Amino acid sequence: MHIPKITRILMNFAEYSDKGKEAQMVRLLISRDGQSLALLYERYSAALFGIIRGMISDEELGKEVLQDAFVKIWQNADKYDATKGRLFTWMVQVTRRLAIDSIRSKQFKTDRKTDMLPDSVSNASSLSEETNLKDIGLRRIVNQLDEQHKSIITLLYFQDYTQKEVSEELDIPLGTVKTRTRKAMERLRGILRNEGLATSFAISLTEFIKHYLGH
Amino acid sequence: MDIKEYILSGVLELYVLGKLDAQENAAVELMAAQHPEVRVEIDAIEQALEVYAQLHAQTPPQGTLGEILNRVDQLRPANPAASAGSTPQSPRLFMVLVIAAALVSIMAALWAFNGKRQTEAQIAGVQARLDSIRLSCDAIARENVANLAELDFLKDIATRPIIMRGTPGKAPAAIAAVYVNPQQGKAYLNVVNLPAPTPGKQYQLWVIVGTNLPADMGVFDLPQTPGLLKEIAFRSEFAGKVTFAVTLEDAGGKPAPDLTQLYLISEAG
Repeated sequence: MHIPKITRILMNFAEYSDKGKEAQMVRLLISRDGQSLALLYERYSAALFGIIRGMISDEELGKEVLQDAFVKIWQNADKYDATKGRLFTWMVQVTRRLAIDSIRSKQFKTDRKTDMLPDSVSNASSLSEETNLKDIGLRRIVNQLDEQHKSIITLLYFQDYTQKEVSEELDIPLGTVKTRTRKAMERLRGILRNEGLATSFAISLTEFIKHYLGH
Repeated sequence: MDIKEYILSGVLELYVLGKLDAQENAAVELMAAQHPEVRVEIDAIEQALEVYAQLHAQTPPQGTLGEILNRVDQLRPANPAASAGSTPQSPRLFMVLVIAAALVSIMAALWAFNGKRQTEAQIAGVQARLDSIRLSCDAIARENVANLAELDFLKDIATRPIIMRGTPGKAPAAIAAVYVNPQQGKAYLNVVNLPAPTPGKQYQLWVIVGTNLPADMGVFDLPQTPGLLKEIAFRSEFAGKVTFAVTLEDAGGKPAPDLTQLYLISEAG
């Protein structure tokens, strides 16, 4: 039976959002368990690559950054502090720092703002979404976000704009960035919560049908 | 500060998004440590962004994981601190395993090749044995046919044996017989016991009819199997009274017998 991508993500997420499992993976990483890196890659590489590609359009360079990121995560796993946040949040921070270093070293920093995001935010947001919006579930979620909410999350999360850069890009006061970010995230969480409900219904329906069919 | 207001301010979102400076970060972490609801809120924001990131996931190019694993492997010997685990020798272990696997493969191939050759040799041996059995079987069949024919000949009431006995001076224990069957027009010589001829000599069979001189019936060698019948030329005179004799002559025989070398003779009858 075909399970929509959004459902798969939420099912996987439900499994990995468990703090115990995350802690287990971190322990494996720190102990340099041979399989843990492959597990970590399988679970997070695509999400991290999506974030990298939001900042770096060149695929080859993006791939280099992703490799650097996993090597660094592997080397510094013992520096991750679970009391400060989730593993993925830390991995995103490590990855983003490397992406910025890579951009700076190649002097892409200024180009990035002009070449990759030429005019409007809608153009900028389309960059990270063009390939993924083919997925119906993602399109449904993204379409539920207002344009201004979507753009601020995209700029901050996928394009790593600073608050100041966002205020300039969207032409809003610096103080408004914080409150609009809050509003955007509240909206996103609301949508995901609703999708989560719809998803759990879909999962139980799937399970019911599987059970009924004897698979 | 009112916690609810703090949560609604958006500072936690910016914290998770990594947009605060070090001082602001420290302040948020302090609040999170003091207020569990702040901790819970941060976790919820992180989860939402994680799901959002997964939704925007892009599969990296093929082979990326392999390159990462290679780089990590190369890092281990260069970085002793990183190789504190139990697997620093794994690349060497891997090589050892590869070499071992290769050796096992070669041995298996040799064993299989050797086995094949052995099997081929066995098949050839069995084939040769089968051929030889088939040949001897054919020979036995031919022999059997001959034996049955001889038996038929001997059982025939028209067959008459003429016994030759050894002469006292030469071979008193010698004995032989000629079987004649005038109806079938056949005759057989059966040497039961006769000493082996001296080198350069051959036994010669003679037939004496009435008062005539002995007539040459040809030379013969001792049968390889005692008692084996040897067919001899049939003469019409065999139907009447005849005498058979055997002398030892020079190889090839002579027109007339050397009677000093008489070994066997039958009674006239």
